[in-house]
Amino acid sequence: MKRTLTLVVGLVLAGGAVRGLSAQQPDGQAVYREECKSCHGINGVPPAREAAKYRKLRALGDSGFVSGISQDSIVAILTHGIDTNMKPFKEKLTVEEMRAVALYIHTLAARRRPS
Amino acid sequence: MRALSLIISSAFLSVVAFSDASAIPAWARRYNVNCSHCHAPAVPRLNATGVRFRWAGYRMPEDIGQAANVEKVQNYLALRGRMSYAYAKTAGQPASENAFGTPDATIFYAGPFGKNFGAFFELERGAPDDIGLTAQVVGVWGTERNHGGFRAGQMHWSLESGLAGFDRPTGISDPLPVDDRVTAGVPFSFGAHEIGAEGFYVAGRNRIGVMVLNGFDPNGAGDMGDQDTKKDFVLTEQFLMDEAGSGITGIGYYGTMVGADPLAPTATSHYYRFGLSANKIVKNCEVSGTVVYGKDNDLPVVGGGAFATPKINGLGYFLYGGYTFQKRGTADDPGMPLTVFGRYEYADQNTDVSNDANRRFVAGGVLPVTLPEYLRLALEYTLVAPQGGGPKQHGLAAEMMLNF
Repeated sequence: MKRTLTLVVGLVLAGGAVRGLSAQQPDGQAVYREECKSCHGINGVPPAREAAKYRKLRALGDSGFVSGISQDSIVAILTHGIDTNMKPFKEKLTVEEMRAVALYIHTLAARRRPS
Repeated sequence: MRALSLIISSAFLSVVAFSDASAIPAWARRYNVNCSHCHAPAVPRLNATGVRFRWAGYRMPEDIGQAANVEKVQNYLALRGRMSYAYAKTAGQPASENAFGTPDATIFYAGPFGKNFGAFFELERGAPDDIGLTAQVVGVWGTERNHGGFRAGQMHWSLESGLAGFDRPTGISDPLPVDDRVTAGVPFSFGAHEIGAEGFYVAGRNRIGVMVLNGFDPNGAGDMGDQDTKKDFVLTEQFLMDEAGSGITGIGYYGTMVGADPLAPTATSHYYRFGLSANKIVKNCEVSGTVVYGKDNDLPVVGGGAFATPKINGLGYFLYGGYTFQKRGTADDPGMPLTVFGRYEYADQNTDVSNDANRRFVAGGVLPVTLPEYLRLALEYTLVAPQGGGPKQHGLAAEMMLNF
């Protein structure tokens, strides 16, 4: 009985810890929609106005383009920016948030991959 | 005589008047972009992104209907300070101005709130004991491409809220035909703030608006409370030609003024104003042309009064050309895209009197410095050359604008 009770309490505590951990993980989609969407588009396809203005702006929903870039590379781009067009995000996003966004960008590309 | 005094006063003002231009680095912070994302060739002039942002009520058009995060004050709050030097001299006379100045120190709090609203508040301390106010609320409903709504408050109703010549100037001063009165009769100006409300609709690249405004008082102020109860009506159309920000603006205005002449305080005058402006930007070059026309009717003609005839017509236009030297930079430093420009302005406030127009030549340069282009240096030379052989006036103005 005592062992069963200990097991139940242990499972409850462990479950709470897992929930707490997941609650701290940044939401890549939310961060993307807050920080990236206005230039890269909600589905990874840039709005026409941005595509016309920034010739090098790539479609993040393009699976061929994104699959060739590692998540670490995306974090590096977010950290340092590119050229004159994309400013660094190192003072706006945490490393965890950048990683979450990188993961979400890969998810976006996978979602748009032709079957 | 009155016309001559108007010309002289306009000529003097033309040299020292600094544009009431605004740029909001808070939004650059919000989107983590350089100022050039919305401004070109230099702050505060807008490109197509900036124009659409303004049309959508200070949010990106695709964000219409989405709740705004109003908790980050840094995305709404901005400050601007301007330091200047101005020199003016009329031929054959000693210098009339040779002074450093602070044209303004300004606080902005502006941006979206809720799902469909936005607001713009600007408190500008100009001359001592003079605090200018812009305060407007905007509501927008619809889709990214087609949306409509209203704006209400004390606002830029035409100049600095339109495209081409009705946008903010590239240099320091606003062009005379839109910043000064159009006729020698009713003291109307496209550049003055007014209080009222506008209903508008955006369909793709077009924006049409209808405004009901309090109108101007007999001193030419649109924000001091019009003494009469009659309203003024405005119809505007803006067409955004391309992503560089080329466009066309058309404005029609019908107004009523009671007491245009203090000697006839109950007399009612009616007036019309029309404005048409277009610009085209091709790579680093820009050309622009703007024409304004005014017609005053029913002006009170009394002995010793201000007006000799009940009708006065005015005509003005200006032509602009500019070139931007692009310097490639990095993400942290977008370079220093120097823009040089020239402008020719013509303002005839009474077309029935020949050879009395005011002409002004303006040449200058604008240079955004450091990142993120919050510091702007500008230099402008002006030559006022009234028709009819009046004395020429030379002016030089330098300005350092800091936005943060």
